[in-house]
Amino acid sequence: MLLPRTKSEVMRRAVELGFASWLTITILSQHPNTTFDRLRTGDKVGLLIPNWRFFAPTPAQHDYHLLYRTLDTDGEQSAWRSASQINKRKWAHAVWFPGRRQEKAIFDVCGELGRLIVRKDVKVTDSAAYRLLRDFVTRHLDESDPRRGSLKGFQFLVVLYSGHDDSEDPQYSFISPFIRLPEPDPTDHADDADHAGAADRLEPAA
Amino acid sequence: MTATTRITMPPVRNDALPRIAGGLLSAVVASGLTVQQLRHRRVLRGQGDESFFETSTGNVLAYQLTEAEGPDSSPVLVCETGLCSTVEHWTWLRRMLGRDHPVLAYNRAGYGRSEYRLREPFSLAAAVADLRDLVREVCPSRPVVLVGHSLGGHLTLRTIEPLRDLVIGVVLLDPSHPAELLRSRMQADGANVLTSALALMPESARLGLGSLLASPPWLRWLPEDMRPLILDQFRDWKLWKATVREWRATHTEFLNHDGVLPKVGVPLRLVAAATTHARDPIQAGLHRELVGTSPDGDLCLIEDARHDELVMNEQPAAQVAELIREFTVGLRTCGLRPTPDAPEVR
Repeated sequence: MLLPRTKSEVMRRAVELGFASWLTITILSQHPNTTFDRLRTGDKVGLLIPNWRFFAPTPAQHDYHLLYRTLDTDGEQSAWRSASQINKRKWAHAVWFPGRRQEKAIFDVCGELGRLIVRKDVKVTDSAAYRLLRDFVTRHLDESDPRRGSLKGFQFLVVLYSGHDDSEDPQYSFISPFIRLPEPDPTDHADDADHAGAADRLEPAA
Repeated sequence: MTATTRITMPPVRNDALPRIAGGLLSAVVASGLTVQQLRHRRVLRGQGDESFFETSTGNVLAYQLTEAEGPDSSPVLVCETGLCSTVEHWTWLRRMLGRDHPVLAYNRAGYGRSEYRLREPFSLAAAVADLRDLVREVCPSRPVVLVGHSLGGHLTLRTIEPLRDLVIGVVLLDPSHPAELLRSRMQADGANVLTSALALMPESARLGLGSLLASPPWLRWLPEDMRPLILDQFRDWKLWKATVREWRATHTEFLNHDGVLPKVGVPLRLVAAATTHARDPIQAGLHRELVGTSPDGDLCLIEDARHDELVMNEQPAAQVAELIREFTVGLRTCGLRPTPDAPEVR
């Protein structure tokens, strides 16, 4: 008998159909080329359709490095320094590696910034990715730069580098405008970017 | 003696879900193949007003020649599209320029209604031969200006010499340079990404998965009346098969480029997207090198525009059309002359 007869049977069939549809949509959304992800466009939260591709077909081949340089009140600019670092792996990291969270966050945010800079409909300096990186560098300066009190502002640079392969040159992915720092205050973070003026006093990145 | 009690459990195993999912998947694949067949027919119907010409390579090209609206002595503008692109992508430019210029637009072999019938392995020389034959057939005694975008720019440069008695000028829109993969890291990286992205496209589309291709963001730039056909082309295997064939040939030839640029003995205007130059200064240098191949070349930048927008987006296309118009007026002022001999440029 094909037609369900009781209410519980109708419910069972509906649930079966729902899960079967979900499975079908999931299978159809695993094409190695993400251009075929039309069904995923309906998944606004990005959690409903599982992604079984993981890193395929093109795994990450570079690390992102976040660099910054500062301008002090005397007009002196610093050399480029690193705001984040890739920890050398140890066996112990298989068990305990809290620093990995920061590395992964930097990687994801820099990747997001890289996707935004090619879009014409997005003002990069208004994006969450930009603000996160700006605030990360600001916090780094607040916490670890002994010259913080005499700094006027900074500029940050996102660099792609393979790390293991010295023959490959680093690629500059994004350079920020000059960002004015507020007076040192442990509870406060950076002001808005200064797109003109002070940035002109910094030399080109490359 | 012990008594045994037989307990009967209700059946708990239920295989309905995989069966339903299998049925749904089969239905989706079957409808995908049907939709693909219908879509392919619409692509083969095209706009419906194309003419056809069989070239010396055996390929059959679908083309449209429109005359200027008023009496005009303008040269015929010959449109050469880029990789993975059809004449429908040029609709803005063709409509804007068609008011005061005769315009010849065609799809290269394999794209749109054009048929690829070459038996030998494809090379860019075959595409150049097709263009040469088409121009000689359709406008045998009229002065022409070749207008090429991206890869089409490279092909037009190579066609100047075999059409030297007809070509009076050339306009390159963000053109490819044959040495770009050797000299620009960004272009080389982009080529690797493209090779990987194209790998499964024709077969996937043939299997009916074309319906799963999301509508491309650039589709909304194009005129509304052309969008359905362009989306059909985008989801059909034919476009991807032609693209893969051309890309393989382009990749091989560009990686083996000998440093010699085609002869250009006519005025040349290169119109580049400012974004292209901002993102890759080496590409900007290569463009300047192309301009230098002409005795009378210039370079114009379209601000706030990207590579594809030069032909597909209305506003940048309007600026490009104005630059082409200005260029052809300049040619008429100087007199229409066929191509003189030009030295090879290294």
